[in-house]
Amino acid sequence: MRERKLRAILTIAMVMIGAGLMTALNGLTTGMYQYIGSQFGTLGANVIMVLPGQESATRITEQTASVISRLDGVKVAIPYVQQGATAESAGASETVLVTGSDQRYLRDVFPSLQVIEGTLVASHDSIGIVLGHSIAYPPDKSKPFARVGMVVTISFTTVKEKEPETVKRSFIVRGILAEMGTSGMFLPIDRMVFLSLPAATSLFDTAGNYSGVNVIATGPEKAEQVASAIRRLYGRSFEVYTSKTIISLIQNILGAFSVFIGSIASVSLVVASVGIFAGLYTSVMERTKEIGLLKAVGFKKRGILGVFLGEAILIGLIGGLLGDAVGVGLGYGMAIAAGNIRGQFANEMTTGATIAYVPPAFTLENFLFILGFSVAVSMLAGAYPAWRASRLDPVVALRKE
Amino acid sequence: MGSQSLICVEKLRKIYRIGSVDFPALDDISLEVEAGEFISIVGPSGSGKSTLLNMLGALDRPTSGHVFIEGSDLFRKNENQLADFRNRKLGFIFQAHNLLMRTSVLANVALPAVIAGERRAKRIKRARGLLESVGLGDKMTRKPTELSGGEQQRVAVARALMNEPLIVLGDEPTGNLDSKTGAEIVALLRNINRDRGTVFILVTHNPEVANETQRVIHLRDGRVSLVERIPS
Repeated sequence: MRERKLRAILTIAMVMIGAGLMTALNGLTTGMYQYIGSQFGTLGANVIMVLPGQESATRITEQTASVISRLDGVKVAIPYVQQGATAESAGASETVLVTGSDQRYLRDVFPSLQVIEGTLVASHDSIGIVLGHSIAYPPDKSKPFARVGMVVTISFTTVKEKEPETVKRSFIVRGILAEMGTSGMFLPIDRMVFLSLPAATSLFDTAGNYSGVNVIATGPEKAEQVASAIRRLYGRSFEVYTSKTIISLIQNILGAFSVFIGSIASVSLVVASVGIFAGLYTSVMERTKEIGLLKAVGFKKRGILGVFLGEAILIGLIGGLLGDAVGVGLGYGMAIAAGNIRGQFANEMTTGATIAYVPPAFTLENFLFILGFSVAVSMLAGAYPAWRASRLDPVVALRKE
Repeated sequence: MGSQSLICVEKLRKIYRIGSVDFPALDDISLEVEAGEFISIVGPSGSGKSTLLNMLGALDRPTSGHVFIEGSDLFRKNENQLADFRNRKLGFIFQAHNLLMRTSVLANVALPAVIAGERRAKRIKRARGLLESVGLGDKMTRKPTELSGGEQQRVAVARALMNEPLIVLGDEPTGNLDSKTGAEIVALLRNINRDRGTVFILVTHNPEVANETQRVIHLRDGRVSLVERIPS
């Protein structure tokens, strides 16, 4: 009696763990999906990014920018220089991503960008700097890093004639940006600092080469057309992305990844089905006498089949519902843990910008799918024991001791 | 011929094949049972009495021969029809393990009516009445595990009567009880037989039980060796 209750609980627990794992992992990938969509939401829909090709020695120069800017459908081509560095002010230091570009066009690239204190840096201002919100107001510190009018020193290490050399230069804070909510890895505007283009080329000594060009099309509908024109012009020398292609590229990779993760999670449910099978089969054996009795009082095969299949469905239903609930908790736990791990790996390469915490996202379809899957797996596992029960010979069943 | 009798068993054979040897459990049995009878089947172990009871209970099929109940040939029916027949026309009382132990006494008694698809209010009412008539009116909500052996058999009797069957078959219904309790159960069955006219056919080892019935059918080696009428 008590053993039977315990066995039922254990069987339900197996389904619950499988369904819970599926729910959690699905929630994590859905959350990541939505997060990436929102990260690139800050990028204007009419922006085309041109970056040096990975297998190409062709550099992006002033000439590249001026050729692109004369293409049909191009409003403006904005070359920029970008590099990681350390910012220091009044004894505190922050890892930052330095971007030098003509700031008149900054809002064309990031339409939602706003200055909350001071102003942007003028085109030929060689000592002005604008700070991203998380740099000016570090979220993990109570004191602001720097204010408008204060001096911030940018330093980075470079190799000159095989000797490492630290370059340092001081700038005056002209302005501070509003929080964009994108301190993430992809476009960490909140963790960027902005210089004028000449100041950045001089600081990093780039010899006329740019990190990339942000091309603004005259309208979002022109973005793909402009991107194709640039690709025709430069072939594989440069990589050309529209904000749309970046999002779909990343989401494709993520989609494949989530199928992989999902299949791992579903394996745990399949394993649970072996447990359901064993549990129900044992139950049929134990209740042989009871089944004989039910047949004697007039239960038909179909009725017995229904009793045991019903039990399997109930196990799947309860296990699946509990799994959905447990999976939500598990998903949040795993998201926090994953954020912490990524935080520990944040380094100079990522300029301290990391995806600290991506909340999982749960959809009704996911819940229902997992519930349905749990019930289906339980039913399949219960089918044979139930069939065996329905086929028991009542005479043999009643005689069994 | 047998169509006038309630039960008519005709040349019933059941042969079990063990290895290459045929073992006849029932060997050409013929007998008739009239409405209202109270019968026992006795005989040594292996004489075929349980096999005969299983045939009468439509739980097993013979190798050859017929059982007519109310004139209809039992083994012409398919399995679903037999299940219906057991449900509506027969009641069973076994030696032990008669009851679903996790279910209340009342639900156990009402079970045959659930299968028959009877309305809840109606079946509960009848199950209560039956439990009162077997003297368990105060224990309807108990679980069978909380009852004594004699009380459990009373529940089984009430369950056997639930769908107002023609025939109640008992396979050693007092086999697990002490002699006093056993006698009480047999007395209960006799009263039901007298009051309702339900036919009882009891398989028993116990001569005291057999002596309480109207007719004793003795089996030996799968054959009827003697039919005894007990004067009442």
